[in-house]
Amino acid sequence: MTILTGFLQSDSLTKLTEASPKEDNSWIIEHVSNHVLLKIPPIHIGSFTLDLSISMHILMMLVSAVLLVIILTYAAAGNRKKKHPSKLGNFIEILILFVKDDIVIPSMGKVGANFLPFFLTLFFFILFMNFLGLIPFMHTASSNISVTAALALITFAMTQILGIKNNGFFGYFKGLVPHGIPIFVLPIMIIIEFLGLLTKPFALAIRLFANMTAGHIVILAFISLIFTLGYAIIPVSIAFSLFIYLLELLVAFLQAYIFTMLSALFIGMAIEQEH
Amino acid sequence: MHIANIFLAKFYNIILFVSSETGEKKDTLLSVEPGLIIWTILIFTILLLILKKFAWKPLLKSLNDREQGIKDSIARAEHLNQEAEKILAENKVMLAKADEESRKVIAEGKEYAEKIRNELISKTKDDTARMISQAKGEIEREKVGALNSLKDEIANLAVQAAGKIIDENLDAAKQKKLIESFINKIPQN
Repeated sequence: MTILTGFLQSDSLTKLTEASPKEDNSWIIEHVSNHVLLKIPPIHIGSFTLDLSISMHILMMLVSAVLLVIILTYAAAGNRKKKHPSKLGNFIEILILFVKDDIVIPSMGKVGANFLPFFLTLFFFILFMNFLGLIPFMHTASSNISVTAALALITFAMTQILGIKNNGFFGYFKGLVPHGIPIFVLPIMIIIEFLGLLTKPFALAIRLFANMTAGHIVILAFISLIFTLGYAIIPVSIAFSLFIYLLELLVAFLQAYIFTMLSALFIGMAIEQEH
Repeated sequence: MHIANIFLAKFYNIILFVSSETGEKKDTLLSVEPGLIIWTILIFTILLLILKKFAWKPLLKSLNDREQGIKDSIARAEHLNQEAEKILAENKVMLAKADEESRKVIAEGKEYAEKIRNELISKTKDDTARMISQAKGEIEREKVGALNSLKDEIANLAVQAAGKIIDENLDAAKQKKLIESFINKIPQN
């Protein structure tokens, strides 16, 4: 990082950026990045500083969590009273069955039913964060790398804990390396498998973050075209932003699906290792 | 090269949000904040616990119950259908049996009636034959009796004639005449 900043601070680049001072696109980043709403004094633990300030993305997470609790408990209460589900209950049930029959059971098998609450919460939480970001004046919490990293960490922790619980500590790590490979490849394989263990959650975090950020940046870029190229471009700009917005609707659902499916796949693989 | 440099600079500018004027590093898109990670994990865990208790359990339960209910009613319907089919088959068999039975009864009745008729006919024939033969015997006996009484009568007449002859002193010619007239009196058969 210091090399990069050093590179960016070098004279030639400063000149290059100074060549077009008007083209300041920092507002795009301003829009998609986090803002602190409520400052909480940072906690210092040794040299490590922990800043627990309430930011915009935390607020959005809380909003989606509260919405989820209200909607889902309402649906559950409605379903309990009647023998057939209400309209909302029916819709929620469709999503639940989608998670159950199309995500968890195919990637984990029958054991997946035991972890259904976890995957359902994961799916609905990401889905709500993604969709909330598509509402004007709202922000996408899932476009923050810290949030996606935290979710990936939860999946990672679940994978390791359930893997160790089901296969034993040594059995789990032994099972990571495929059987029947020559001894001399073993050191390399151990390194590769260990890296694979870490790249899985890393890819999860980056995928969700990048997908949710990219759409917003592209929409903002199309809008900013109006100010760079003049008002004549407005119809094209709006048409394209609208198209990207519709694409975002798809992506919002798709990323929630992919995150949940890959989590289920990783956890399923850890529980039932190939022998 | 020049354009590539500009592009690269813009890219880093956007992603890392490094202010080119001051070089001061502000919040960037790729900077990971531990505070936010802790918040996320906290919110997710609490959300998971609340939803598990108040939403997922009842929702999944009602789903499972409905699934089970549908399965059960299908199984029950199938079972009932099978039973109905069985009863239908049984009914058919019973109907066929009853049909057979009635046919047999009718056939037996016919046979019996035929037998009785035949018996009656043969009995009547026998009876008539017997009566005819009885009648014939009776006639014969009557005839024999009549002849016998006739013979007695003849004998009586002969005795009376003999007495008369003795009384009236018969001569040869007279005797002859008498016997002849006597014989003529006798019926032909």
